[in-house]
Amino acid sequence: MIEYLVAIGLITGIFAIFALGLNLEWGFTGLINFGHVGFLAIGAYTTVLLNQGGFPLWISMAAGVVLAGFFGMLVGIPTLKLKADYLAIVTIGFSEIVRLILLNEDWLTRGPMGLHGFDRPFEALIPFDYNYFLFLFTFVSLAVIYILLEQLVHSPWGRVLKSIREDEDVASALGKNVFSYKIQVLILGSAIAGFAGALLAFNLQYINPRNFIPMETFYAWIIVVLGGSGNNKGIIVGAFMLQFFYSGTRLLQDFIMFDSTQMASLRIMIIGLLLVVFMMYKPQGLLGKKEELGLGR
Amino acid sequence: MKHSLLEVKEVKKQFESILAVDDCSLIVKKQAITGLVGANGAGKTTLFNLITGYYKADSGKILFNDIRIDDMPTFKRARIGMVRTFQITKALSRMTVLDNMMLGPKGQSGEKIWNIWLKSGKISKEEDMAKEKALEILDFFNMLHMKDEYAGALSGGQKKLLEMARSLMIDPIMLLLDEPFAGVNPTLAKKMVIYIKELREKGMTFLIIEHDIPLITKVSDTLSFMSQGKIILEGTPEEVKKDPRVRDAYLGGGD
Amino acid sequence: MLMQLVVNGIVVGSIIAMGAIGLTMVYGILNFANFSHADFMALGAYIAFLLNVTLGLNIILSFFISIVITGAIGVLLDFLVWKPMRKKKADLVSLIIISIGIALIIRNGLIFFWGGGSRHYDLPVLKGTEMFGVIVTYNQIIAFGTALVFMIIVHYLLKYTRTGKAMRALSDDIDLARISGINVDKVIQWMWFVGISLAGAAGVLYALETAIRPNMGWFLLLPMFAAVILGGIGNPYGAIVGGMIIGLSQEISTLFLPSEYKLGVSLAIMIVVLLYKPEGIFKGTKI
Ligand SMILES: Nc1ncnc2c1ncn2[C@@H]1O[C@H](COP(=O)(O)OP(=O)(O)OP(=O)(O)O)[C@@H](O)[C@H]1O
Ligand SMILES: [Mg+2]
Repeated sequence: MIEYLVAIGLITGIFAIFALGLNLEWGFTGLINFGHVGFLAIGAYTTVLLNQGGFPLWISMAAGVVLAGFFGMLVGIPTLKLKADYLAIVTIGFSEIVRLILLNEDWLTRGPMGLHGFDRPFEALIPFDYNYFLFLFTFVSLAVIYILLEQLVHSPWGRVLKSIREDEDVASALGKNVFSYKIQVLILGSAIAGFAGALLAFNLQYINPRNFIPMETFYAWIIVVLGGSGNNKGIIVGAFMLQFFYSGTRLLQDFIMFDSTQMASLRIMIIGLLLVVFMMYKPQGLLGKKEELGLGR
Repeated sequence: MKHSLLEVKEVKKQFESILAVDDCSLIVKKQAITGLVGANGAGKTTLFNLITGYYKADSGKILFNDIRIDDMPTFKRARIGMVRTFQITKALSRMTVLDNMMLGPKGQSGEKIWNIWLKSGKISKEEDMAKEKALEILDFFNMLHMKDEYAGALSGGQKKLLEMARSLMIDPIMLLLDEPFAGVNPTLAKKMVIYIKELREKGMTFLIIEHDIPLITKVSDTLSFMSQGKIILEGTPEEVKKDPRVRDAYLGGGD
Repeated sequence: MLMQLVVNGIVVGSIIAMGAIGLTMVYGILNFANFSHADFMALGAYIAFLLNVTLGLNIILSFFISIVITGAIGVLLDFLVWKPMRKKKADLVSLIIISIGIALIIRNGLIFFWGGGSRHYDLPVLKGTEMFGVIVTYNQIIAFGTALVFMIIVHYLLKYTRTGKAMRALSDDIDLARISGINVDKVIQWMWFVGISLAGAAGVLYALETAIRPNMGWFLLLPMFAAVILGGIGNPYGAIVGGMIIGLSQEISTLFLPSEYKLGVSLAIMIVVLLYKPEGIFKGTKI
């Protein structure tokens, strides 16, 4: 039982980190990133490939984070001066291209076979079940990222982000370089996704392109929408809610006449429906402050 | 001492089928309060958008403090001291009134990401100063009690005031106000007229779009009258008001 | 070889173009990127499958009934979702997120009922003909011919009917249109009907060309957005030309690139346009 809870907790923690990156972009700055999973993939594959290529794990991981951030910047350059939807379109395309490259460049990624056999942090030093350690490692990382993000969003820097979310014309009228802030946010959010990708690789021990399908992005979205955009604490709660929903429906499986494909599709339909309903009737999320509701932006 | 701060030279802006600003020229002198009047759709707001860089002019030149600014992005124009407000108010709804105000000051150390951890002491000092100033200005605009409300919850008139109050936080050299008195109660509007004049004494320059002719007459040194994308008349408020073209434009036009 | 790719490109391009028309109309009039548009293509293809295979109707009848039903679902969604959001004056970002939610519901609804595998219509197997050394299948001829006819119909709708003219007015300035007495909601519902049934029709044609799959729309979403951006947002004629350019470039790119990267071609074209001509290549020729 406890092993099961640790395993579930682990994946929840990783998704909470992943979604915190998205929350910085969407929740605080209003950037629509529909290709968040692309940066998760870059983080995971870079960490694993470099490590397998003989680099120390920490350097590989750092490279994964930096590279994810770098690609965040590249995606931002053609889009962030334009209307919000262009970023959405380009990121969704970008993440698919990343997945197609992982799938088709066998010489580098072994294509659909995926990669396994790589180091994990301190694995040799841990005398007990490694998952317990990874759980700890994930949640300490989550706590650190959470605290740093809270400091950021409550600083004057974060104030500028919120003003961009509300109305970027005001931000530029007041002398803020909107483009530069958006790029910074996309770099940071993508780097956080890259870090989550490395953790995901450690957790799975075996990564392949199927781990990085577009749906992963929308898991992050539903976490942010449920938890309340612009609310970091809510994101962590949202990640647990999604996990609860996921495991719960999995347990239900035995009592329902649907097969597992149907169950999976039903689950995603419900997630889609929740996205629609929340954006229509409760855009502040389950935990969001009531006063923020109905303030026509 | 009275030389020009802003020079607009034969600026043109065409939208699909409408020539909104047509070879328009305008000079605003340093420390002057210039009123910009004209019928609805004359092109006043579009001219503001051109001056502040929200639109790029098709042709013409714009100089601020003798520097050409046509190609400068909006935020840089604001940094060299040219700040505007919006006719259709843009309150930052899901931010408090105080946060709206604190956004204003330029060159805040805390707006650079690494400073948040490297210079936290300096940041909190700056924040305290900004807050003090913000509260002072809010007090003037009778909005102190609203400081912790979300800006989205303000009334239309209060949003208008917040818009002006926020732009004062930057200490602009020149303030461009787009209908600052619309929806503001008469007592407060009179107070604002006095305040604007005080700020001018301290060195600030104003360009103000306003449809309320008595108010704009009271506040400005000169009026420029815009019609169909051109400034066709300039002079003291009394002179301009007398011109039949101006009378026509405002005939039956309410306030 | 090149000629063969050109033929394939024209066919795929005409299908992308047909889908892109509806996408660009929504984008121009309601001002948001509708990420569920491509999934209506799949929906149309499956409804036709239901009629044609499960109920045994003739394929032509199935095609027409399917596009009417798909279009009607588009209108229904306007009542359920888009109209209430319009009344609330919702910002465009929430609309985009809602459209993704709808996309997930449709795509997974299809998987729920029909599974993830490929399906085919009940059609006589027709061999292709060879013209000048290029193989053209009958399905390709039918797809291209039908797409052409539909685009001509759309042209007439927009140019010569009152509702069509009203759509153009809306895309120019929705508030002005409202003031000048146009029944905005009704015109918008027509727009949904036309746009979404075109998507459904394109879906059936694409399924003829390839196969019926729940994620068939997904692979056309990016090419359609590329077509819309290339042609200038809100400009149906631009979307048609854009669709043809994208279809042709995707096919011809397989000369140099593995065909798996077709999608990358759309993305690359789109990024170049965004960097150098974000208003598209036909600025000023709106509708
Ligand atoms: N972004 C735009 N696209 C197309 N036309 C525009 C745009 N902005 C303004 N116009 C048009 O340009 C003309 C001038 O508009 P502008 O807003 O500058 O007028 P104004 O003098 O500020 O009027 P008001 O007193 O009503 O505020 C109008 O005909 C308007 O419809
Ligand atoms: Mg105006």
